[in-house]
Amino acid sequence: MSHFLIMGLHSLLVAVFFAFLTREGLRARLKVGMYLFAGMMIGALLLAWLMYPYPIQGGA
Amino acid sequence: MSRSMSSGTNSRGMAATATAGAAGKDTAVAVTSRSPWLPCLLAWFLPGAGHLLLRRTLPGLVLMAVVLTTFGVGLALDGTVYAMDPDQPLSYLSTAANVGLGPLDLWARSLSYGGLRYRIPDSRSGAVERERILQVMRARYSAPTHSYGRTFLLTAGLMNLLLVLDVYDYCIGRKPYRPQCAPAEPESAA
Repeated sequence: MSHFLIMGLHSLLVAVFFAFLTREGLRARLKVGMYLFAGMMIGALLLAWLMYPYPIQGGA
Repeated sequence: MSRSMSSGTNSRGMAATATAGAAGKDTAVAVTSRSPWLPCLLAWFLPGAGHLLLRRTLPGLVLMAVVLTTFGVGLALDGTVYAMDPDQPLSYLSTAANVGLGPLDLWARSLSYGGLRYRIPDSRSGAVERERILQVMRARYSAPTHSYGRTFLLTAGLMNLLLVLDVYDYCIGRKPYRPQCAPAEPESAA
């Protein structure tokens, strides 16, 4: 399983969890779930892009 | 916080309370007199079971599936649960998060440490025992996905703690109660 897939799976599970925990009704849950999923994925990719210039500790 | 209420008793013997809005319309039904101990204990014991007890079937089943999937993926990725380590104070918080998973934590703990261990001896008083435990842990640490698995296990524990708190809120009437996941009432125009 690739790192990206693991991150996506984690984001999906957390998004579904909070959608069902905090909202009632299909439409509201879908909206919150998609916002959370997209926010986590985009945020992680943005963070990865920002960290890209920094060398990996102990890397060649 | 003000509450204007009219009380009654439903078929399950729980006193149901209708909360009246400013316009005099009843918009939500809240369970106020139910003792939160049993639902909360059940929610901690098995993720989602507290919601099922409160007849929130769909959210209960989905939340149960999500937490159990998170836990299962965590174990499949060779994750380990935390144990309290005096040399690492933050491990106390992480251990509390893992214990939030209830009895499932016992399973993960026996896989992680070869037994039910919640505390790792410090390096001064129990160096030999500490080294023995760390050797068991290193076998799982060597897996490339170990830190991902650990994160999944932490997430599953924290999710279950949130479920317990959510059930508590339903029981004391802090959260609007809609059995069987009835669709939300449309918001009335102000």
